[in-house]
Amino acid sequence: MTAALETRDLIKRYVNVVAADGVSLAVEPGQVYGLLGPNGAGKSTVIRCCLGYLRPTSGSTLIRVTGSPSLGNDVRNPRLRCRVGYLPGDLRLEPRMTGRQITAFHVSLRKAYGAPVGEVDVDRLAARLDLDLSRRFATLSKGNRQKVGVLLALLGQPDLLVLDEPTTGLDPLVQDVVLDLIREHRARGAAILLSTHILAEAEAIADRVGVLSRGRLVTDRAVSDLMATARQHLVVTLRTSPHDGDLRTVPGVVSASRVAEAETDGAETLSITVEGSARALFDRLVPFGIERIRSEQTELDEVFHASVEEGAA
Amino acid sequence: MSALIVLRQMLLERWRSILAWTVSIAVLMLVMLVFYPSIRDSGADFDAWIQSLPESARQTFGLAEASMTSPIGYLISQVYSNIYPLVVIIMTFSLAGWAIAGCEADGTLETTLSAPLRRWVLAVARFIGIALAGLAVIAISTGVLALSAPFFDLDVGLPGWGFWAAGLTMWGLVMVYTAVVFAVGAATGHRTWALAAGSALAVIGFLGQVFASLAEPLEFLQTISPWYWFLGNDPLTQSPGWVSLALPVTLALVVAGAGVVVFERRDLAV
Repeated sequence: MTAALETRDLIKRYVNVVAADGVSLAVEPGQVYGLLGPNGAGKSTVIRCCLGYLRPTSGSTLIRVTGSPSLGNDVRNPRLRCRVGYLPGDLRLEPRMTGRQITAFHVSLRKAYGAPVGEVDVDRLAARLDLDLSRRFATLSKGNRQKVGVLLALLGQPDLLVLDEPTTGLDPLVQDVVLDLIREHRARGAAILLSTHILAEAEAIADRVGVLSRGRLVTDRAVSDLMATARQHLVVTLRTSPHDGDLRTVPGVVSASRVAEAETDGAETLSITVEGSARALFDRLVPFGIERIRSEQTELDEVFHASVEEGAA
Repeated sequence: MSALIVLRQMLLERWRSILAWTVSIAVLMLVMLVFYPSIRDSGADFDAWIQSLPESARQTFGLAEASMTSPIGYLISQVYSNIYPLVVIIMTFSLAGWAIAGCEADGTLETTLSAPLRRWVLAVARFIGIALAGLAVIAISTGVLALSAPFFDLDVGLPGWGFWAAGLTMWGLVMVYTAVVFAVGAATGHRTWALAAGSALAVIGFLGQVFASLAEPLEFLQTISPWYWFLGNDPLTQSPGWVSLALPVTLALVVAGAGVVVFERRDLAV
């Protein structure tokens, strides 16, 4: 399948730092590619090189719209750009403009190149996001500002979506709406590059993930593969207590220890770290009477370290 | 089409500021006219005091050629040699600093360029917007001058189109330095550098035409100073010509164009 977005050996070097160091990745139509990395890993640099804001020091980037070869590969070509939606990581818009005035500007530019988009699409998206477009940007909360950015990125049913930290500042309900919108775009064949530093978000939405660390792509694989080796931190409350030592012999269990929590009726709470599947652990715990399981978020650092170690091995 | 959309959006975003400047400058021009009768009535005493000033001071304040108590002398020395172009330059500088470099620094440029819009179209449209804003502010304040002048006997000896000719050539002067601010901002992304470059060149140009009239070896400065292209042509009585209008406008276009070319090719500081 032809990639909608591709980088080959992309290097972006500044005077004192290499922000992207030989990054090669491909996002295919109908795929969500999660670009993971902590702040400063080079995610935004890679994105900005792909979208023509920055010139690569070496290597190449390519954007292609499937079925429209006449649009070429020049990402600054407005006709091609009509098919690309972009949400910057640090969204800034003219503070005195209302959401309606801002969206009208973007709609007009798209219409000037014949893109099938209008106020109806704006209203439909605003309704999905529960966004009031009559208010000035400066008066909007951080979450509502982000909604304006998401709306602009989704205008005109783009074939390629590039979203830099799209759920930043959004409440959980709206985060779900945004992830649903992304899934809908994927379902109609759009290619989506989504940068995030939240592993759970990548797990929830991405088909493939790339992990950036200090400008280098240390991992590029299916999200299911990544999660199969990622560590899970579980806090399990049991009716009766097993011996810690017994649990450490269970395949996948890295550590297990008791947690001082307010227990009732003699229940015991354990903190357990598992690498990969937790199936064997649950099989072992069932006889002890599982009362409650809480899963703590896996820190992205752990995935990075695992990826780096794996790459070095 | 895209350029028109950018222009319309620029007007939407900036109209409050442009309107405030327009009203302020028009009121300032009216105030300048109000002072004229009292200075004229001082008559010979005032001119004698002017003549007692050092030559350099008279040149600096545009008092060398004509009597300050005559309508043309007053308008040239008190309005067109300094305060009028200065306030218009401040307004157009603020727009030129905002157009690319300011938007790049505040982060709005990245989102604007996420729309289907070529960089050069955005830059050219905004430069046209600045030029039109400058022209509109000058036109309105010139209208105030032209309509009010008869009430203060400031129209004596002036052709009917005198104020309009002076306004048009002053626009040429303003656009030269505004283009420098715009171009440096577009080429570097640094608003401070842009404003510093434009301001420095405007001051150097102004002082250059003053020094040129004080010392013969410095006369060449007149030929390269846009201030002399404007003031040396008797702007209130001579119709705009190649040197007073075509030359500064052409120079402004070349400078702004150079900025757009670099802007099209460089990394954005986003």
